[in-house]
Amino acid sequence: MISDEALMLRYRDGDFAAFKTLYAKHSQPLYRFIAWQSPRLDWTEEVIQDTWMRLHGARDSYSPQSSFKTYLYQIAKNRLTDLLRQRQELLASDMRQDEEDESTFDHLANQNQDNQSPEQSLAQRQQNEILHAAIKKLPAEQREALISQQFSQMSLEEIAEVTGVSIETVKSRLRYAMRKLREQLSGMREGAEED
Amino acid sequence: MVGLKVEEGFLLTPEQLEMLYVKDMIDYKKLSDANANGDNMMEDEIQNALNSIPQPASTPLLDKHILDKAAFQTAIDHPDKWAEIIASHTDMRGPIAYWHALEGDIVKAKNIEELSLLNGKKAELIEIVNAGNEVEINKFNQAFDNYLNASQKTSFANAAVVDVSR
Repeated sequence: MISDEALMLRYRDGDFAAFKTLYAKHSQPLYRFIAWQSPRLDWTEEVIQDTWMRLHGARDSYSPQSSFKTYLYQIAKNRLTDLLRQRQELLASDMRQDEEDESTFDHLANQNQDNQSPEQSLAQRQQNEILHAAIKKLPAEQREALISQQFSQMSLEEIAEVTGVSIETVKSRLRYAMRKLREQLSGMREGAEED
Repeated sequence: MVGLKVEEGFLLTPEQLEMLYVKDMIDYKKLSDANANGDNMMEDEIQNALNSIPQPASTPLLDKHILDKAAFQTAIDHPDKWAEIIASHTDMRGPIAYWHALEGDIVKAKNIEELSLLNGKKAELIEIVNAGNEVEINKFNQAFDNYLNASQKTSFANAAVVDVSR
């Protein structure tokens, strides 16, 4: 099997099929990585498009010594950081509006409910909503570590490289994140038992 | 006798065990298996919930847009590969071929006005592709098909210009 790094070198030399292979492999995990951290869906799409285009623009400077995956995620992370910085005011106004509007993730909570009874479906929806909210509420660094590991299938080493911290720090962030999620789920279970 | 084997050769009664626990001489964690198992169950539950949580996903439209732009850009940067890219990415055959037709015309431009006009067309083409303008891109693709099917060999650039005139 050809490595991502070798595919990237082929793409650099004009092999578009290599780009398609890289895109098929990384597009959804990368999308999840950004979507969970971006406050708006249209910003997610903007960051994703920019990331792939910047990959194209920077392909001449790509060195196979560094992992393609961390290279790609670093571009995306930097682009998201820039965009959030540029649009702070808009973000503040959005947050006020979000208190009234439905969350971007609300429609997702209804998914994965095929072949379930109404009770199971309701319980699944509640669990999804609580988890979505709990993940969104995590401190940014813990959320990023959790999303990278759980939803983008990154190793501890890869997360450390993308976020620029030690592996021990990544482990610590993951531990805190899981503890908070456990508390949230535990609270939900106790609430359900009281009902 | 009910008890706990702490070390090889020692068996403690519940009373002796209680004494050691009160005096903080044994590790409580080793004794509280039930609690420990409960914790593990909770971890499993979270892991299962995270594994099954509905995920945000890229749309086919976004995917197509990104692939279109990458194909177009790659064909611009690698003129020797453009025919190959058209063959592997037919959705962008029109814009890619039109770009290279313009490039060919630029080489033959007779004056600065003509050159400026051709460069303007290139800039417009980049805008159309970057914006993912499906209607315009389809017009280019249709113009390319017409060109391939035409018996008379007019230049593709001219055919595309006629089709996208707005």
